Amino acid sequence: MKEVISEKQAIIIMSTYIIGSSAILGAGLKAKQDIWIAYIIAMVMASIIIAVYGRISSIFPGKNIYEIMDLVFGKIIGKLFLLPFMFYSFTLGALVIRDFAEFVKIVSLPTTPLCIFAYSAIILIIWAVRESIEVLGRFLSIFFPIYILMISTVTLLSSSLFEFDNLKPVLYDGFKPVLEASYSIFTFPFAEVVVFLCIMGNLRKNSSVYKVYYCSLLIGGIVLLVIAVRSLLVLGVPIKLLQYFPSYTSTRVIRVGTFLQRIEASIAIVFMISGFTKTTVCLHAATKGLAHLFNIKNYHRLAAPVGILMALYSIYMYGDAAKMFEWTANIYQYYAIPHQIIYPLIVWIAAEIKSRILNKNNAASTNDAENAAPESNS
Amino acid sequence: MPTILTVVIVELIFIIIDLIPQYKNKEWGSFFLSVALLLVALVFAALFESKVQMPAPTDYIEKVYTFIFGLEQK
Repeated sequence: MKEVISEKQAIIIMSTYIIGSSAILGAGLKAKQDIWIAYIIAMVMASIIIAVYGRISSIFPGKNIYEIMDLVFGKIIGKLFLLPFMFYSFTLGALVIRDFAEFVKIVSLPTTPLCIFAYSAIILIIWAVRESIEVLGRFLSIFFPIYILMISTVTLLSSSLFEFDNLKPVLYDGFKPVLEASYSIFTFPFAEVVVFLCIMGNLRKNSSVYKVYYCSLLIGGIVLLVIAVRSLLVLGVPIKLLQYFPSYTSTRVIRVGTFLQRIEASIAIVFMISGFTKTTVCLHAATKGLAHLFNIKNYHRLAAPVGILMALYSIYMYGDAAKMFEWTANIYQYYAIPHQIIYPLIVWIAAEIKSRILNKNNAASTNDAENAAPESNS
Repeated sequence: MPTILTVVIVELIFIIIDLIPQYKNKEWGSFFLSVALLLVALVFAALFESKVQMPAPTDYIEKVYTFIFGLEQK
């Protein structure tokens, strides 16, 4: 039975995915006090590449990226093209699991081994993938308003700590750091929605793929902008740059009277939900790719072994937390280029050519049928 | 010890819940692929626990992209 999600569910899943680990890690720190400008530029950049992703899905509606690659490139080359995309989804999922594990380890349980956090998370994620994307959609339909309410409440409560001087001086270091930061934000997290090309095939008929992508970009982008600016206004640039988790730190300092304090757990919950969603989508994409590669109909059967490998990979991919943050800040934005920009562009161009060829063939066969019909009538 | 123990426990849970039904339903494609992946995971976990130096793909990715984009090596 085909899994179907509504437009609204897809928007919620994608928005939560975009918020993902960026809600807690922070991105674009190079821009310092101009981070808000970097976020706006990054959203504009993302809106361009998202048009490509949307076009790929709308040329062949009801099909995921793996099926589209087979249609466009043929079975053999399509499967070759599938491999880097699958590996990217797998690596991204492992990265998010590692972020989650490092977060819990650094913030509260420093002596507990990483594998405990990683495997505790992956068991739930495997379960979510096995139960299909519909379950994730329904879960987030309930929790998304609560999630947004938590972020809004924390922002409101921290408003008394805002120092608007932390936003000045605007563009003091020039535009170059802002552009570098906006590119970094573009690759992490906006253009990571390329993974959703695996899920767009599950969208209900007559749903608009573009609406899903652009609404999610807007919602996710605004939430991340609010979180980034809040951290900047509360902490200021020097302290923010020293933090592994600036959003979490900015929440720790909130005190309302003597009764409302230590509410950073709310940000941890936000991260749990968004990290869970992001990893589930990545595992879903990687599992579907592997099933497609080996012509296995029921991809759910592979969720557990792929998930176990993903959790294991997350533990050994970096030696320590410092290495992870350094790789994410410096290397990831380059690593993402082929997966987020080059492959989708190649697939899009090939898909456009293929669809025109198919349309021509359909038009020719329709003409032949029309010409043959009057002859048979006479 | 903790890593391999965790991997073994999770794999056992999966074997009971999913792998045995796959075998009974004769879903050979997914069965053999799952077995292969689980064995790979077990071997990696054992090597990781034994502190064997394994090449991490992220190191190679870093070297490749540092070379291509002319980034500063650290």
